[in-house]
Amino acid sequence: MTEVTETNLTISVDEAIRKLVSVQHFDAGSIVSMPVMYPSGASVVLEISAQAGRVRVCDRGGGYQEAEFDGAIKVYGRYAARSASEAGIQFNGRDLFVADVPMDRMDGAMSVIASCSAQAAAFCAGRVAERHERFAREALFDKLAAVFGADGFTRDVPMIGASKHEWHVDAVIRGDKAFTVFNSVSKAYVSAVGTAAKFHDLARLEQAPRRIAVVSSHQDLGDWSGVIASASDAVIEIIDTNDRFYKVGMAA
Amino acid sequence: MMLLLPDDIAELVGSEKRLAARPKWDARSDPRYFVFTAPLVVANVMMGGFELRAKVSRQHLDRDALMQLEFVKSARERIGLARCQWRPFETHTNKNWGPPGHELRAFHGASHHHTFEHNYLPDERRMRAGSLPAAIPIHPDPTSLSGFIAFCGECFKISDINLLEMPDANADLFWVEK
Repeated sequence: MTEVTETNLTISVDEAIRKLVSVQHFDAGSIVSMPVMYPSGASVVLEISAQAGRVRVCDRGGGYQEAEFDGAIKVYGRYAARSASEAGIQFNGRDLFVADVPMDRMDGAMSVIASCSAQAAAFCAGRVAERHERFAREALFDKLAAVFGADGFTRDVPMIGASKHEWHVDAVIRGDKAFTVFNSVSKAYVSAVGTAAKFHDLARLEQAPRRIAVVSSHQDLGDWSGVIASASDAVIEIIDTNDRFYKVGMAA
Repeated sequence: MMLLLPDDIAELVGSEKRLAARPKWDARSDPRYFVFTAPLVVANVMMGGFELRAKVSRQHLDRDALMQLEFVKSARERIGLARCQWRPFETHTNKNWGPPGHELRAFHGASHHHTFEHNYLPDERRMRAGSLPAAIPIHPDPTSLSGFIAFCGECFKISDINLLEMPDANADLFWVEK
């Protein structure tokens, strides 16, 4: 590895900056790769062309393509339209664009369009991740049904915590004297923080339920493990044995 | 257990495949690309939801094409499994976790391969979030569209990729580099 000195650091930073934005010029217009990334890691690419003396800047449908690969075109359409409206730009169902950009405002148009395109694609990626969350809950229901029977637990149960806030837990198993709540949790910020807050609030109840967090894998949870574990009686993996699920469920 | 991908998805991706029929390029649905999606046959069985997608530039004959293996559960559940991109206009940048040896690597307009192996999480039977975020370079870089398609055939193990005809494209004189 090259030794880092003040001189070569400056040179390397300059070189990296030059690589971050690139442009190619054609008779029909210019294509610019922007230093803004879609969730896939692809950069936003803009097409800048002149039509009837007017400058048009568009995202070449790059955000649309990201959503297309995730089967989320409808979600993208809704969000891109909203995002375009808020930024005062146009959306034609595929491209985000401005049709009449003053020459001296081209840099602003490029930044706004690239930003809207990446944000709309990121929103779609978030919605796709939520789909995975729903599948995780359904996987938990399947597991509990296999262990306790379809009528052996209750799904989507509202519960009042010590704060008097009403939470929803994925599943509840009622014992003779107490009960156990199960909640699927992932490393997504909303899931991890939401489950931790919910479990801490339920733990402060006079007759606190046993709180079981169910994860796809301990490894995947990363450093959220400590946050979830401190609020739970047990953190188990969805692939754990039926026997283990039975033991944590019947401990109530 | 209800999961997004079938249990044998890794076997499917790694298996020998054929096109179910000669794909036809669609020149209408995208203003910049010729496109098609085609079902794939594995062991003489047409696999429901296992498809090949292709996009080839209508403006540039010497760049900007991609082919992707996909699992399509429904119109709303389309999951990319692997993708090859030939000289795209965008820069692809890997995250800091890899693939090993390619962490934070940026492909500035260079051909690259989003491999199934680097984007699949076998313990969770799902693809990483973000539409195949990991890529490795393609060496040597195919010098023509037909070379790229042949490369994709080898990569994706589609034995009769030569069934695919080149799209009826002419060089767009407006999109010749200055």
